Amino acid sequence: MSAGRHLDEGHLVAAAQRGDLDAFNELVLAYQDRVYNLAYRILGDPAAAEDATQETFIAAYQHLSTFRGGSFLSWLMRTVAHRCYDELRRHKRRPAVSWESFGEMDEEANPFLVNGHPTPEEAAQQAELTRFLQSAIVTLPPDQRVVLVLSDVEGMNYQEIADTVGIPVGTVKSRLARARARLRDLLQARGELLPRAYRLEEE
Amino acid sequence: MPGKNRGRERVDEWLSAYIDGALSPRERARLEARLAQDADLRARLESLQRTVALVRGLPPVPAPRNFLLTPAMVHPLAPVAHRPAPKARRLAPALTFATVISGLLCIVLLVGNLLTPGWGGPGAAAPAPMIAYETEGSPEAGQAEETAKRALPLSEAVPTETAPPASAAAVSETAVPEMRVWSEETPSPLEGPFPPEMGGIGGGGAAPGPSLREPGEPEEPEAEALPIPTPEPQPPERAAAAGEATPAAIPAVEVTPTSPPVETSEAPTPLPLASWLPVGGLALLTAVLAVLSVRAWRAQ
Repeated sequence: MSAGRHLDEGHLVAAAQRGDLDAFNELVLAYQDRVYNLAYRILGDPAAAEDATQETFIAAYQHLSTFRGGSFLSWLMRTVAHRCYDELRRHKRRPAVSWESFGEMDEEANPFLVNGHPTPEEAAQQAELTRFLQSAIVTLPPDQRVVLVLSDVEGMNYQEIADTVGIPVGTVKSRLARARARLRDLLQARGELLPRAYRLEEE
Repeated sequence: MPGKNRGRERVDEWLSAYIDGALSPRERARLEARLAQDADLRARLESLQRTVALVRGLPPVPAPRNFLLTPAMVHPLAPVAHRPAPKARRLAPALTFATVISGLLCIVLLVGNLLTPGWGGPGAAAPAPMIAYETEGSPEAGQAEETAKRALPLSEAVPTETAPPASAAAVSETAVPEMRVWSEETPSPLEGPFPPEMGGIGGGGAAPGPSLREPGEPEEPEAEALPIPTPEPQPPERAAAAGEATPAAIPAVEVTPTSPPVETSEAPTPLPLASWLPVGGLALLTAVLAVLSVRAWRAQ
């Protein structure tokens, strides 16, 4: 399946490079979830993630001539990661999300999240944990946040992250370690949440 | 205190890399040896592992809507807008090349016709400019001075419609003016001969001629055409004698053997119309190609 998809991707990219907007839109449909998810996890805001996703696709289409083969999805992910990082730096002076506002962030209270969970209680717990985690990620400094999301949400290895962000592998390593440690400290500070999360993990 | 933090960070970095399997075998062995002895370190590793597991377990958030692009969204810098440029970039040289080829063919045919014995009257006006320069160079023809005077407006007019693209090769200029001469001359055999000597008859035929020619701006082609004849010693004299007629001077030298027809022109014997049709057709084709190539270059 993945091979067929790759073949399609190549043809669609080639057609899009010739100005075929319909071909490009097929790529949009195929990858919009991945692009949006990355934007949302980095930015932590649905509206900002939507903007970043749309802008990413527009920019990608306009700069298709600079795409030199390889994985189109990776190219898109790189584009959206950069866009999100720029966005975070642009709003650096904006006050960070406070712990008090965590309970108000309900963008995760989405029916799809509940899918696959047998009981409403578990679903509610999972949704709460997910919401909490996302809120914690948003408190990380932008450089750590991007690396953490690329690693632990997107599943990229150190080298891929280094290539995507344009930093040395050693820097990826240290930023990722700091991000994880900080997240762990935040989770531990909310002791009542973390043990429950562990229980969910272990059950 | 900062030293202790640094140490903690260092440990966390090791643990984080350990989780990712990114430690070297030696580092890994050292860390595992320490983990076996240090319960705090094991707890630390465990809490970090759980944190990572939680983040990795975050459910994917699907796009809340479709992000399909519309032409309006991508219009400002759309590849669609860029497409004509590469096309024109490929088209322009091709058109210029075609113009040159067509012009050269036209010259070949023209020269062939001019050299055909029995040709005379109708084309007399055509060789006139050429002869004019040639006679300047050769001492013989005295009558040629008259033709030279007449040749001036003619030769000035030569590149008129050509208006060759700035970027077009100089070659196309040499070919195109030649063709122009003929394209303007072609009607004359049809409407009536315009021999240089028969001023009376030519008066009618000459009237539309200059009107076509006057708007010409031969400067551009001249500037580009000049480098070609430079090896010859004559151009400066010509420039002095004939002013702007220089472009026509180039073909004139090449068509030197046309001097005999001048004598025959006194007894005009129109060549069959059919033999001029290809020349006229080619001239027209060259003109069209020249215009198209100018547009193609400008489109860039």
